[in-house]
Amino acid sequence: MIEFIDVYKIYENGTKALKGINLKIDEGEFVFVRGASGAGKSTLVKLLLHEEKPSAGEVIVNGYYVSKMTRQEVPYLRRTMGVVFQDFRLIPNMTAFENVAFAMRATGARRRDIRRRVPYVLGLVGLAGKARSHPSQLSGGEQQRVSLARALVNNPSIIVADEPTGNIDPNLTFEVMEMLDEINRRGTTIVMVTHDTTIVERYAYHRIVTIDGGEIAEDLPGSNV
Amino acid sequence: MERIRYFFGEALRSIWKNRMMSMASIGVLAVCLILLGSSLIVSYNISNVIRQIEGQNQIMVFLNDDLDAAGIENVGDEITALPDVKECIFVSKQEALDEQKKALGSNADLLSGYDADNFLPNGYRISLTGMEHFSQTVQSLEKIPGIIKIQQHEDVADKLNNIKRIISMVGIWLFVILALVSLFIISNTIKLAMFVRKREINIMKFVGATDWFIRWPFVFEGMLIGLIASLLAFGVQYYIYRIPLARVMTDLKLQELTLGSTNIALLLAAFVCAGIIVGVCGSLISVRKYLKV
Ligand SMILES: Nc1ncnc2c1ncn2[C@@H]1O[C@H](COP(=O)(O)OP(=O)(O)OP(=O)(O)O)[C@@H](O)[C@H]1O
Ligand SMILES: [Mg+2]
Repeated sequence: MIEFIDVYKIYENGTKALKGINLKIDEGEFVFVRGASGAGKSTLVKLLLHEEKPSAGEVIVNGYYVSKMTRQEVPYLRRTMGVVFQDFRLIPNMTAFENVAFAMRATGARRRDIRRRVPYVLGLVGLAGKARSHPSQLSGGEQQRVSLARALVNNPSIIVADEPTGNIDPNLTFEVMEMLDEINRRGTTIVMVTHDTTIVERYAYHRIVTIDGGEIAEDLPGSNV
Repeated sequence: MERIRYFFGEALRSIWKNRMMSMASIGVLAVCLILLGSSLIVSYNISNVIRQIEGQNQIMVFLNDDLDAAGIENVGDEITALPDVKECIFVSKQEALDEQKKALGSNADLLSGYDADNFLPNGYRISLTGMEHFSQTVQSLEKIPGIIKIQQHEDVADKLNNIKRIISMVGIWLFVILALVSLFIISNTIKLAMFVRKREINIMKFVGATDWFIRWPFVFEGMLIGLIASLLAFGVQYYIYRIPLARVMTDLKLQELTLGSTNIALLLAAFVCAGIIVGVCGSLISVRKYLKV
């Protein structure tokens, strides 16, 4: 569960990125976060990951109070979430399998468990046959699915995706979207930042939060719950 | 266990990836250790020589030629009465000459002309029970009439002591300076290694790796660099110590270099410890500031 309570974020240079955000996202929800460039969407995501701390207010993620966390706790907060970035952030000299395994190993997983779990997750995103391919040998959509597999491999309760389709050929965005939808149906909370209106319209049965100038301008509840 | 193997593997991979920098680090650290080792060995041997000289605990006094047999005996009694004197042996002019001849070996006939007209004085060879009151004993001896000269080894020991102090000082300072250089190079090697893997580190952080999980491979890398450097240095040191250093020592008329097997083991241990400490510190310097996200 995610909760923003009266959250302000003012960057060191004085930019007011968020001005009093109140938002509650329940378990199992799929939420689009949209808004113009510079509205504060990525800042919202950074607060969830403790990449930035709120200047005022509190962000609660899976029971962790982000503003009060110690350095040592941060990794454990992050393990409850899977992150997908616009630019995939795959390691070029590793295969798809190694990229996913890498995320599991980073949390101290055992080799046996890694060997069992990674092929399963790659299967989930439909890339069982591409395990040995390097990122450069994969399409943008496939690369993003690898990074989705990496986000899923540690079995997070929340997936946070910041413009996951931003760098993908429009024809391929839906393969990633279908994947996210499927993951959500299996019970994982999804927070997806996007400014792709066609996607939002097509999946309008999900909740849509619109940010404008650091404030929530609109919060349309989903229709399928 | 599996984790340690992973850290170790990552460290080896990284060393190999940046092998130029790794080699530079290893080389400089090895030189640094060799300097430390050489000064330790030389100091150790000089100490040995000093101890040996002091261990003889002997003072030679020479007597005025005017003394008759009774006078000689009198001086002997006075010497024996001094507190720290253990033994006091009379060395006649003739015995002194024979000893000199013996010391000359095959050149002994150089002194054959002096048999009749012996220029060497009579003397006493005094053994002391200890060296603590050495200078007081010398002072007391000076006061005894009939003694014209006191020969002591203390000045030799003093000189050696000075040499030893200088060698240790220079050795230690060179070690400190080179250790700092090593630290600098190692920390840069690790910094480079981290830079090369910046992307991986960043991703590791986002998937929830703890700081120490990220740090360990780099700490291992520093440790390995230190270990390799120390083993290399030990090998080279062993060679140096056997050949050129030994020659220098014998040229200086010092007894041959000795290092017992325990000392060799100690030296190895010292090298490994110093190497690993420098290596780990070097990597910690870089790792510490690189992990902010
Ligand atoms: N590290 C930073 N330091 C200072 N200002 C920042 C920083 N990051 C973002 N900002 C500013 O904060 C505001 C919100 O930025 P944010 O990245 O959250 O926008 P966004 O909604 O994600 O935009 P986009 O759609 O272009 O990605 C912007 O004005 C931006 O310039
Ligand atoms: Mg953004």
